[in-house]
Amino acid sequence: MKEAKTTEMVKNASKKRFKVKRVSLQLYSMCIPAIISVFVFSYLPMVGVILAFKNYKYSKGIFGSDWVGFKNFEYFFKSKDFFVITRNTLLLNTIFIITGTVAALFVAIMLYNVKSRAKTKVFQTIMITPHFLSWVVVSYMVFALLNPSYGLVNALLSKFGIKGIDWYSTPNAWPVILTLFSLWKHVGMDSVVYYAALMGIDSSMLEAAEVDGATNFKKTIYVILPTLIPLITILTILKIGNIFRADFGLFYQLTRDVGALYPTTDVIDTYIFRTMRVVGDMGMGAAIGLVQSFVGFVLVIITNAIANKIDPDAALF
Amino acid sequence: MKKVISLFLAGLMVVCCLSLSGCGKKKGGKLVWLLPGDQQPDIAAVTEEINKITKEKIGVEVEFQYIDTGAYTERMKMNMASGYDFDLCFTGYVNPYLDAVNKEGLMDITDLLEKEAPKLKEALPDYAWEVAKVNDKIYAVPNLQIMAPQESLIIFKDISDKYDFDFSTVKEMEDLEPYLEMVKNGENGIFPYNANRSGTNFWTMNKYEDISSGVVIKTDGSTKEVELIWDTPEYQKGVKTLYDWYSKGYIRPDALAAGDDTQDFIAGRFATGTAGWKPGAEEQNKEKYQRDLFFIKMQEPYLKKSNCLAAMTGISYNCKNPEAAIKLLELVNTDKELYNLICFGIEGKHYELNEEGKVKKIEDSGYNPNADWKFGNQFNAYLLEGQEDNLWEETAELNLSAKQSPILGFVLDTEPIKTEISQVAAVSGEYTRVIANGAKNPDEYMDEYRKKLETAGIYTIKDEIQRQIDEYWNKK
Amino acid sequence: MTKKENKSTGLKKAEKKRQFILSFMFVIICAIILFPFLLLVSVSLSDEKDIVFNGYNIIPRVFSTNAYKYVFKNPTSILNAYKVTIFYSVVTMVLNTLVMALIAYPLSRKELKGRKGMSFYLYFTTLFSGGLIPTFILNTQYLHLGDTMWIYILPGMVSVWHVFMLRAFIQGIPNEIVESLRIDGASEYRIFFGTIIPLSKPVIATVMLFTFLNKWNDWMTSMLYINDQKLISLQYLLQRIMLNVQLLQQSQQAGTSDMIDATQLPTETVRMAMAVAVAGPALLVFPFFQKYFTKGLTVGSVKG
Repeated sequence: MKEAKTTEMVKNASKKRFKVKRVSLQLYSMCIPAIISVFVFSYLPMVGVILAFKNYKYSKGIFGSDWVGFKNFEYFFKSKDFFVITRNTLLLNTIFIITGTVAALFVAIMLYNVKSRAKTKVFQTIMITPHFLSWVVVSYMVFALLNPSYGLVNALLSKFGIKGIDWYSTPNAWPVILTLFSLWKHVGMDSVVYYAALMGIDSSMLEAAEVDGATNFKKTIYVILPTLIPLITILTILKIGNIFRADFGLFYQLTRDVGALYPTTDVIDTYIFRTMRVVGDMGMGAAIGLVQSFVGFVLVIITNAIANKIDPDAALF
Repeated sequence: MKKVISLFLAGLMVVCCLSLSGCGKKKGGKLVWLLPGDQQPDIAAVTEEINKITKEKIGVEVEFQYIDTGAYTERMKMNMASGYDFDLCFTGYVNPYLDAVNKEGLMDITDLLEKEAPKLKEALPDYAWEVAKVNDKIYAVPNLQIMAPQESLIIFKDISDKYDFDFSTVKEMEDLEPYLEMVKNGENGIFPYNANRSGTNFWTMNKYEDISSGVVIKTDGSTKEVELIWDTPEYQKGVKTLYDWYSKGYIRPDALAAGDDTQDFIAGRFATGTAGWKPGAEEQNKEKYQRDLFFIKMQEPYLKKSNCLAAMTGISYNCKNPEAAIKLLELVNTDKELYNLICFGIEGKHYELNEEGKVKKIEDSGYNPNADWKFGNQFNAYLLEGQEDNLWEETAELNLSAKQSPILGFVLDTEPIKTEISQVAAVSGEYTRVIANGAKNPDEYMDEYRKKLETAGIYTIKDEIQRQIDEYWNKK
Repeated sequence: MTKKENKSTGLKKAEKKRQFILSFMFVIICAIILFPFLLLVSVSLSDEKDIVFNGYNIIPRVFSTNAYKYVFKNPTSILNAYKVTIFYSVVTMVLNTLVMALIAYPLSRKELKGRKGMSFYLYFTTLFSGGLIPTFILNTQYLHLGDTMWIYILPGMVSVWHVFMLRAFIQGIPNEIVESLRIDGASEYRIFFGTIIPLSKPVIATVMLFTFLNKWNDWMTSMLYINDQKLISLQYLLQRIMLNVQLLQQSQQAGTSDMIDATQLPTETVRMAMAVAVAGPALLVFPFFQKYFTKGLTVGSVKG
């Protein structure tokens, strides 16, 4: 009797093990299309990083071209561009992160205070729309505003007796212009996340605060904001992980690739594009790309580790 | 496990099928010719006619593939880099010749020309072959056209007729100023001068030729020393005058961002313009701007390298049948019937010949590339209605009689200074339009500009160019 | 009237006032956001000559639909671009989302071994890429995707961020549901298609929308890979104008601008009309997805 029970148990266990195995096999098989697609279209071309160490000639191909060691890197690090584009990338991305977060929080909290659901929906929809436009289209809008001869902004200025400004030759104005349009495009979308988190706040907490006589401002500071802090932290950390990457469309399309604006708007991504496309120096382009990837990689590993400490669920991997 | 394997195989099969489906597109021995421009809707019919001729005469067929002009340079870089299967390609003002040669994208055709296409070799004048040489080797066939255009002012008659100004007094740019002032005072909303196209070039072009990055040499061959354009008195005068004109409102205040001003020209916003003069330029520009106009030539006829390299046809390093490709080039450059078929399409369908034997294009016919210089020797083209009978003879004569650049055969090896060149280009990119339009006071930015040029390595470039020039002359 | 009632009506009044101020503020924000759209449309509906002389205006001074007539004058090219763009945007929207959801589900199962490794395998590709040329060589020389519809569909199927959004949302589905289905003997595929997908509607709709718009807004693919005019995408039609203008400027500096037939370039109003024609339809898609949008985006990106 006892024996029969053990065999029964063994049988069950093996059945269970079999079942687990079958389950995981099925699960693994689901991953295959994505794994193959990523392998073919992302991993295979990675062979190309060797371009960074070569003097690339068309007729010799990627593998046949001559090795030049770290010469391509040397060129880049020695050039004065290195400092400028690194500074621009880091500085502008930092500005975007800070203004973007503050603006999104502001909009989300204000929206949370609007009681009418219908209104909320309309406002939200309108604010999200710019997110769906390509930078190409946005650049046409910017041009309509800032075009020095036809543009609306200069027409307005001249009405107040101010001489029109030639925006496309005033590099100092562009960090502001780019920030404004980055906000314009993203604030609606970014605020959605915070807004939804606010919807999850336990309303009893707010009621309790109200009973205690808290003003709306106090409620916001002492009840609402603290609940959002973990979310803000995580989102910011993730953004910092990508601080070495610039939104190519924003910097390339909005500035119309005007040379006079490079001092303040040239970022790593546009620089690589130009190195490859205009100068045609594939080796150097690849080298800069590799530097960018490497720094980005280190940053992500660090920020991911931090995120893991704060909230393991929020970490990427 | 079976499922895993089967799925994996399925995935592999998808990939394989795709690659196979692509292979079905093999060109079947046709020569593929890449060109910048818009694909003409009726290209198939014309290609069929073209192939009748080429098949009969040299036994091959050709397929034209057009790539957007704006994307052509980049696409060709990718095509050459990836070993894309093509045989001939346009190289010149887009897809620059020396870049393509330097990156080994084009085939050396020096011997091929002698052996397979002697008629072609003969059909072009010596200077054309001379400029095409890089280290004594030829990599592309120049498309013969105007090689010595004279930079000129265009004066629009609808405005100039209103004023009493003797344009024959204009010998130097400054001589134009009284007229600009008249227009400024007399017209409303019209800009007297447009500098976008040429900048300070109008002051320097008769004396100096640019080698690279602003390092110039005297055009009269009096000296073998190169100098920096910024040091020349002509340049400095030009910069000052342009700023003066800008401050006085002769140049549009927003010139820096104005993208292309063709529409403004057509709308009549400018009293003067600039263009290169060549025989027939008046008619061409009248049509372009839809306004009556005349030219004031500001430059002596001068044959320089960059003009000759603006339109050429090369053979890909990857070409499987170079003999056929060069024979095709020979045919296109020497066979009038074939050439005009490519330029204008089929007679009766895409164009008609009037009683003078000149081309009258049929509107919306589906084939109008409108750029005969893209394909080959333009002097073989039929004349268009309204063009002078001896247009091509005059042009050829102008090319031949023009003063030749003292460094016509010199090719700069940019390899040792490529970083410096790209950095100087970046620095200059910041200032070019500012200077061209006189938008800022040169006293304020010139020092800064020169300092930046120095850090970017302009003197390294200068020294290297001097070294190579010396070598070139010693060899000569 | 008692004191208490008085106070509550007072409060109500204050609340009303507050709501009014808030609404007013949002109306202004929305107006600012809509302003560039309005300007774009207005310029596209203006008379070209008036613009050349008097500049843009927020309300057309001289109304004209010529720009649109010009854009649709040769309808085959733009209508064809619509067809192409709509086709591949819709196909990728469905296909990519399916592929991504398929891997997101296993990645969300805590019991699955190696899921962190797989996440990293996906994530790594956002950091290092082979670059333009190797990718181009692979796509054209080995996979022969150049000048085919496949080039729009196959590359870039998997967006790591979207996978992580999906994964986070699916993680939020109570584990008991999956377990009980397993005990009932359902296969994983059955669970996935029958239960996980219906429960993840919000995030799936969101990812679909994003995929659709990414593809809709892409111009680089056409520029690099397409020769056949019948396969050109809408966004590239717009970008092409910009490229030609840039080429003209470069040629002006290089002294070769006579080679370019600048009269072929569209006028300002036509460019703006093109921009409207290109952007418009994408914006119309959004309302269909909005129902799911907030929820899908939130849960996904908070954890993603």
